[in-house]
Amino acid sequence: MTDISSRCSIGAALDRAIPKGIRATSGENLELAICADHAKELLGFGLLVFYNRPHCAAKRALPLPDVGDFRNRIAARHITAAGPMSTGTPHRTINVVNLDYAVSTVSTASGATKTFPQLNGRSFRSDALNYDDADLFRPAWLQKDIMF
Amino acid sequence: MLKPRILAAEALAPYHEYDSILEIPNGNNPNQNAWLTLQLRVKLNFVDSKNPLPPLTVHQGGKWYAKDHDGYLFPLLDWRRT
Repeated sequence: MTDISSRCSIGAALDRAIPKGIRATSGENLELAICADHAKELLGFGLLVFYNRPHCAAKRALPLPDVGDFRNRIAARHITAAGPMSTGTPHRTINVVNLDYAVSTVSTASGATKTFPQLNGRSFRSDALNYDDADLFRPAWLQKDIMF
Repeated sequence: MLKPRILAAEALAPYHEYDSILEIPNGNNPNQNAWLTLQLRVKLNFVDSKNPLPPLTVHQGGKWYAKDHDGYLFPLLDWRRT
């Protein structure tokens, strides 16, 4: 995967690439499989602790970079876009927008404004279905400087 | 009775967003645990000006914006198709 986070730090407006391994079209089924050896990690934090906060639960369930073959049952997280699990309808669809990090002020339709020193993973208020690219590349819960 | 495969559609919330597949080893190796695979089946929809999704995307003054949960409009860039 391209190292987006380091480039974001300079605040330049980037035309970010869709992560390698994920097809550019929006109709692909992406899957995350977690084998039993690592299921505790997902169940402990991703589905149980955060389920009372749906927006966080969704973020914890976000697919992470592919770290191995599903069949070797060693890696904790997997993404397969066209692998053996690619058939079937998705259980969840997450919309991801690509923000312009060069801006510092945003406003609502009614005229209210908000100013940021620099956009980060918490600037855009995501919800369970709609993410910004920071959620994909540099989730707020991984950024120690802006932890909840 | 043990059901090795539970589909998301068969489960109750909050366990209804993934399929669970339990595989039990043949017992030849006493140190081998069972395998549990959770299939989340998450689809990512890369939204931009070429793939707009109102009301998440707003076209205003010739520019595209993404509206966040609080209603703030953030300038939107197109995804680069790889």
